[in-house]
Amino acid sequence: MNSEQQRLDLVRRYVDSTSTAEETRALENELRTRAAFRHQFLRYMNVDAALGSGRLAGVALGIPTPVTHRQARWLSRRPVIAAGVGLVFGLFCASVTWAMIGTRPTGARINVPLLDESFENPQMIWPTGFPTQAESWSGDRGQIVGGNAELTPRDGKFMLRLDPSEATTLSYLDRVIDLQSLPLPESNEMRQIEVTASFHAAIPGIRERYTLRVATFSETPDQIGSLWINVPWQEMDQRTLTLAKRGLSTLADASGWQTITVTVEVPREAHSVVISLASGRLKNSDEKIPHYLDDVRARLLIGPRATHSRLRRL
Amino acid sequence: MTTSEDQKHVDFLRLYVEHEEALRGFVRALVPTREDARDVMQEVTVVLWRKFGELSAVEDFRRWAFGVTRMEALTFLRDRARDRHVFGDDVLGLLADEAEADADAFEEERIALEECLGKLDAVQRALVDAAYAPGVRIDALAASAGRSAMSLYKALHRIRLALMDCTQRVLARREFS
Repeated sequence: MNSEQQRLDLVRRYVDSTSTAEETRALENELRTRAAFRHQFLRYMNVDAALGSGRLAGVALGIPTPVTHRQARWLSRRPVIAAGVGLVFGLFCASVTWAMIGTRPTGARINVPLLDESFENPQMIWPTGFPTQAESWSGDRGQIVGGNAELTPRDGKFMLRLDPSEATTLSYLDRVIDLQSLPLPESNEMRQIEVTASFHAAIPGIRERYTLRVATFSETPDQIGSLWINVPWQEMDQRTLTLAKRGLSTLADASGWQTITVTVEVPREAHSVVISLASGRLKNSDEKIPHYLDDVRARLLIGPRATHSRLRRL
Repeated sequence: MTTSEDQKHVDFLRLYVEHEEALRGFVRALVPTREDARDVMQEVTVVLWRKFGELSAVEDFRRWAFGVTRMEALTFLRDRARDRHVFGDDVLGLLADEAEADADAFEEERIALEECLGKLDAVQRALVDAAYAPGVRIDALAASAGRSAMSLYKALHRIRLALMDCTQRVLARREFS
């Protein structure tokens, strides 16, 4: 099934209880195989449930109703949960930076740079698929390129152009970092990794999606590659010790570099961390275009455990 | 009822009310009809209260409640496994995992939905209010309006999609406010 419209029609008939058994099976198959559609289905059902709950009765007519949930209350929850979800839109015609800040240690006792990548080696090539070793990039195809009249690298003279993937909506670039030799926190401290990455579309003024995932695993780097074979992130999420992921969907008037930062807590038993950058168009039906990545940084922070989380625009 | 039981009751109500909408959305994603979802939620509420004493810390309520709700929904569906509209266990598992993982984001969307409902035009508002009123049948509603049921189903579908787009715009704007 190729059309998003067809898939949404299946959802409509399912929700309205007018679908045939064959249509339900077709919907089930689409949900099984398309992660993005599964998320869309869940959003659709969320709207349907909210409308059917009665809590919103009167809102449509402008009658005030009690608000039982404070806006952005979820940001105050556990850092891993708070950092694990989110949707941000780049609205302005200027570079913007978003950060999901967890319970960052106050006054980090240890601040160790783990990665400072601005893709300055034009000869750099990387294997396709998931990294088979730590401290090197792997993923979909692309090339290190210089700036041009329309686009200047975020940092340095070069940047990475990530070509569109034939198989998936988003194109990926992944890296594994070995944690085994890194310092551990004291009992009253927390250990975190903060990762920042910048994204840019090859064509300005279009809607697109960027994601940054950072996940810790108990497996060592040489063990983790075999876990990943033919397994999508949605399944790997279940194997993580901790996970932070941010999605940024730009609107049509967005331009400039879009920078995302996420912070993930690193448990003592974590032996490796996976950084995954992804970019692509919002819809499968959109023409696929390359995207640029630049200025990917990661650092380890260890310090006293703090108590608050927040989302902020930098 | 003793004082400690009073307190337990208060604690439960406070936590349940706080998470009820998230649990309702979670159930709705798993079961085929709104009526089924209501039935499951009734049972979930009873089970949550009955087992509330097993909860070790109130901070764990949400994770615990999602776990209980998931079990109840899957039990309900297992009893109806021959229903041609029930998804297979693997798909239900995927949906349950993602609905739980993204519960915070969905909560944000429900909050934004309040603003978006106010942006519907009068005809759309009237249709939503009528179609989602308890016990309403779309075919009866359509007959009374002189329209076909299919036309109402499609109109509601377009409204839901419009609301989904609207909630994203509202959330985007709030990020900058």
